[in-house]
Amino acid sequence: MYEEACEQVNTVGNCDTDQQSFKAYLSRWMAATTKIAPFTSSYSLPLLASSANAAALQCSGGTDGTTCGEHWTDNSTYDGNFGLGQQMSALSVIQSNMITQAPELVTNSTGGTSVGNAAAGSGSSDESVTVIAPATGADRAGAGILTTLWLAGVLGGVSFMVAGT
Amino acid sequence: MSYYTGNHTGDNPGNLPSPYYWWEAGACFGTMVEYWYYTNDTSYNPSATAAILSQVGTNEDFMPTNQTKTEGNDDQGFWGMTAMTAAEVNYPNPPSDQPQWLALAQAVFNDMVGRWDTSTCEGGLRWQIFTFNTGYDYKNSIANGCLFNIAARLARYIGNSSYADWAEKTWDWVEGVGLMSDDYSVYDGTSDTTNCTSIDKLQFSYNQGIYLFGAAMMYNYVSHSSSPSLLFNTNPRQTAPHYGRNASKASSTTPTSSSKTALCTKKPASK
Repeated sequence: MYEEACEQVNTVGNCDTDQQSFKAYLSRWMAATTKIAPFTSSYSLPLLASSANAAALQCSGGTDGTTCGEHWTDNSTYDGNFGLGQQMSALSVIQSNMITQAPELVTNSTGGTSVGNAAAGSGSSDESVTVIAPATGADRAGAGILTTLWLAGVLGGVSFMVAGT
Repeated sequence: MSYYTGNHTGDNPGNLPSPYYWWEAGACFGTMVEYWYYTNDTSYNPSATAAILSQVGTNEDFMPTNQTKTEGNDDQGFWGMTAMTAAEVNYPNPPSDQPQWLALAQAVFNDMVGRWDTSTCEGGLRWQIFTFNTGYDYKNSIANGCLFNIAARLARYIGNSSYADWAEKTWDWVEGVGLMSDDYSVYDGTSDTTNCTSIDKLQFSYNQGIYLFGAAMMYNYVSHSSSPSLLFNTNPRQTAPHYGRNASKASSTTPTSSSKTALCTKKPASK
């Protein structure tokens, strides 16, 4: 997995502090997606595994010998580019490989215990979500086709920044 | 967590030292919530829980007074997504007299819905919340992605179609304005000074991921209907050809060198 803005371009890669953390979120979301859309597993899990391997190889820097660099594509050649974003990205992609052993993501009808409040926040009361029109079967069927296409498409888009090797 | 100094005496809980912005602290505690989810190691839970709750603000919507001059929709969104993650993984709930994970995510959703802006570009969220911040005229994928992501997750968690409607509305706007290409590449943003007619085509991994997970949530949400007609949902293999086609198409995309040179100047210095 690579962050285009943070890879070495010609000479030395340079990207901002925010961007150094982005691979953490793509890793987390790819892993969590396999829980709720299992058909994505065959695509995403091998990529998360190879990315975790590459990230671990890059976590060989610093005086402690476990500081992580930015460029996972450099494998074991520590790139000297360290920080919270790099640590968080490496932690995220490595722990995401435990997703198949992790519990399901709950809802309020499958064991979720968190208490909600539909009127929370300071948003306009006109936009209250307390009035609900139940979806019809046709609504849901239409939405089902649509979201499947969305999901498959966006997953395809991920391959722009995640290579298998 | 050694980067986090907010639990030191005299330091600010929930904040990271410079150069890390407030939003990244929110994202970081989301990672720590998942650390517990994956490992069952509770060592960092007290710090993480205290940090998240310290940033909710008086309206309990992640608009704390110490951030309100600089806070953008994406900044608030990342804290909101951390709260949503906590709800979805059944991370230990705060004491009952404290704000609850699900309600915090709903608060962020409600705030964002109130900011949906039809004055330009026929909708969309602005990057920034406040007019005086650089980037107020920028309508971007990450701000709208936060709304889409949270809305889709609330729809699934609560089973309420109002949230799903907003997820769909946000997706349609993003796609319609051209922030998402025909092959589902997600571009960075667009300016309302041109009525969103020109697209900044920089690509970042988190933009791809935020729409991926939101789309998965919508897929899951509509799949849990009792209607037997949901062929596309109940037989994922049917989606394989489409999905494979997009994967190969996207992987052949070659980034241009011109896009790379501009990458690191994207975020205004004032942010």
